[in-house]
Amino acid sequence: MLERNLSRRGFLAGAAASAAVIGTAGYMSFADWDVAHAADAKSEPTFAGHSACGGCYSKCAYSAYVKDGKLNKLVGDPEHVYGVGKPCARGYGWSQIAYSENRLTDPLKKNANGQFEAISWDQAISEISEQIKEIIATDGPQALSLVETGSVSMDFYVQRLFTALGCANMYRHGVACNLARNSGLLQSAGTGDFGGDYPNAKVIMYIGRSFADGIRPAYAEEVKAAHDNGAYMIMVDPRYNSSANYCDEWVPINPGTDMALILGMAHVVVRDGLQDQAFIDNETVGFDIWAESLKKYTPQWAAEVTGISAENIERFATMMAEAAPAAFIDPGWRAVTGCSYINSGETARALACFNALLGCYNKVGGAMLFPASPALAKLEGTKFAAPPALKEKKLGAAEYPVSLYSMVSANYLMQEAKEGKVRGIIFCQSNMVGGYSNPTELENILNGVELTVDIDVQMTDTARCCKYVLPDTTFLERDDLPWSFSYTTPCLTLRSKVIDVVHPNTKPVQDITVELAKACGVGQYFDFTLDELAAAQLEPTGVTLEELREIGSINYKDKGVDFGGPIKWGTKSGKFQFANEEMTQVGLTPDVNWIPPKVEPGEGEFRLIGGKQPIHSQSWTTDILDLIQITHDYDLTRVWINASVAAELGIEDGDEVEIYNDLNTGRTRAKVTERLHPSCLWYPSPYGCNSPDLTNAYHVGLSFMSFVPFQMDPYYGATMSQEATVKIRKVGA
Amino acid sequence: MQSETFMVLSKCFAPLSADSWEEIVSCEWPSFLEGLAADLPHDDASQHLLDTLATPPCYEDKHTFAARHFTGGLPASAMPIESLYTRKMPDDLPEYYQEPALYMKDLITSLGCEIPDGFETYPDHITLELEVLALLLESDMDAARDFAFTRFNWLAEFGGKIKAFGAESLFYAAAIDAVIALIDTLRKEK
Repeated sequence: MLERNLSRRGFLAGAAASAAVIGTAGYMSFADWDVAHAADAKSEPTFAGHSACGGCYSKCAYSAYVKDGKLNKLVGDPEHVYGVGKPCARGYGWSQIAYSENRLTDPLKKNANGQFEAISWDQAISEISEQIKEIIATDGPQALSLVETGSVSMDFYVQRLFTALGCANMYRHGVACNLARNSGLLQSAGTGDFGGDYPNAKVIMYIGRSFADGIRPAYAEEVKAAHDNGAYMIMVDPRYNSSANYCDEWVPINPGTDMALILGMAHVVVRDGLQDQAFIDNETVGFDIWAESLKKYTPQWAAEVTGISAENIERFATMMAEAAPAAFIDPGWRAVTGCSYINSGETARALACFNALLGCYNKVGGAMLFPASPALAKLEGTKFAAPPALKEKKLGAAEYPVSLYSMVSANYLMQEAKEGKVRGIIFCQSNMVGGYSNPTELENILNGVELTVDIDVQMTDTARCCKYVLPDTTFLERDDLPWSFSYTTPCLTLRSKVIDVVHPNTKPVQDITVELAKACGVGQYFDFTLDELAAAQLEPTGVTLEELREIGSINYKDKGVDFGGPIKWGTKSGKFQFANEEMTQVGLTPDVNWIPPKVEPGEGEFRLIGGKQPIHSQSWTTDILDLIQITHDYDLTRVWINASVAAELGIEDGDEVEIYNDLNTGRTRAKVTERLHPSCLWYPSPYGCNSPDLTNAYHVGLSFMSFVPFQMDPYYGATMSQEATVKIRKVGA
Repeated sequence: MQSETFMVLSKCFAPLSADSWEEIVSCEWPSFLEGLAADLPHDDASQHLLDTLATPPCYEDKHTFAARHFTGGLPASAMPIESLYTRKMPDDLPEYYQEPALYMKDLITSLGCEIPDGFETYPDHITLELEVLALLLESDMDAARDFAFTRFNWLAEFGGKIKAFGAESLFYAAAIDAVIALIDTLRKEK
């Protein structure tokens, strides 16, 4: 807390801070208060405004209601196109962070003994900015870096700070999320993401995607609609995941070989002339190159690789082609295509190409390219003058030229930091150590970096490794900038402050950034209030800040996809690219060709695969007591093992087992199940917190990434989270 | 029982500047110790408390202790705030701004006072709770007793947390034990 002079007798002020007046005022016993308060407790909470959940990057909007100034109720805002009025479990749970016992309350600095101590904001800002200036003066701004995963205002403010400092090294969590996928899609379809017209689809194939365990309520709604409308849904996954109940078939594929399945299916489509040739002729380039390559990827070849029968591969291909254009392969998110394998990015490219064979882009029931987001102002004028454009690209951009620039590998940054080329890193709500790659390696690297700062609300594994930790307010305690984005329809949403600042010595990230900017001599680029900036940004939309604050979100339903209309591809060729010469820069062929997984389990080994659970957003939420209690109640930290394999190893359901490889050994209990491919073990990704400050999450479960080496795929730089093998044994056997 | 005793004890956990703390130590501490000695039972435990409290920490040591322990989000955190310890139901979460805070907010207001800056979420901070007790002792003994007997049951758990920090915490542990002992004396006087 802030120290203060006490010029009078005590802290309590006011006319009655003396005995005489207290005697005539009303003392109220707790018992009397409790009775009076119980009556109030039955009253309805008061609407406090629209917030947007901070539990993941989706920022689903909801109306917040308070009682006694404290958050009491959340009601989803249906206009938000990701949340669709239904906050998920994490949305409800994460709101508890505001009053969490484990919240950071003061700026912290690590002392000579490695212990954190509270310091003043003046000291924190002064010391950090002096070090930033020294690093820039000595080694230039590219010796700094930023890793953030944040709110809209965080993105704007911290990125503007780094741009003003001349530093291009701004990274996000994509390396351990969907870097490879978004990059692969970009190089083929010209966009980092696409969706689908699920409710109208006749056939949908999901590859390693469990929407029921994933992040956005909108997805669950859409898939339910697809199911209710009779879509035939195929779940390709080594694990019978939580979503498979909605599906008509579970295809337990050999993990890491999904690309072979797609190539085999594509072979069938082209072999039998089932492709949409008109679409291919009008909208694509490079088809002939890929068609030639596809000749070798017969269903028999694909069956050998994937473990799926050639008959089924033929059947899936034919089924989808006959249902086209109301058929598509879902683009996935993190697992297969996002970051898991050396071939993840190329798997994404392959599925995008398969969808192009079907000609299903922007067709009813097909894959859907998202419409443009509502345009915000470019911010001309002196007041909002942007810093000079950056002269350099971020570290890793040259090494990974086909990666989506905004997602260039944060692991590459850490490699540069290890080699001493990066002397300062600022993190904003990014638990890199907890989830991007091997935690031990990342911790060792960070311990060797001169200046490390984390802006966060809780002492994550990453914060724990830093020299300074600056306490952000929670999302509930601050206003934010408008967020313009697009899913099936464009959407504008605004998060507003709904409760007062809980801890007086915390500051919203935008304020922290402005103070740092001023101390670093670039404050002139922040000569406006948040509200002034927000109002200026909204100008082209025709919606005022006050109006948007009143309604929270606007869903531009009339600006959705123009089904059957012309498509503006975001590629250099202006067409969908079955072949792309740019890929040769990273040693790939222009078209998509088979790349086997990097590792294969040897004798007695299993590939370790992972996934989400619907109650946690990676490590972000594991310290929320209600959410981690669900983990405990349902024993969700067990490792899944195939029943036949377990029988061979003498492991029974519930047995304590040890999972081990050269990097780590950990004990947990076994879930013996038919629902898993025999070549792998499945373990959920959010656990294994190593920060003792997070008392509810600390040492609950195992850290998935602790079994994975620090690595990057050679094409896109993703973390290859499932290119690791482990062994398993029963404890005491 | 002297109100000043609790007023000084409240300052032990308060975020005071160097000047304010040094003024308390130089000007108020001797009389505080006298008053404490008069109010505590005459036994070895009390003497031990008096001996420990006889040497209050200098500002630097107090500041360092607070910087490590009276800040949130650390394994060594021990925030002196009742909501983190008092549960209405056994399954309730230890959270800031629970019922004790709501009660203290309403009580302080009903007594005609204002919640000081920085304590808006912490009206149940030990400093404010002890100040309210001190003020009540001066004006309304029945109210003071009621408040003392209902508001400080959390101190045993808080004290246990403090004591786990070892030698550096002895002063603060003694201050907490002194409050508990004084309230116990009040209870016996009833």
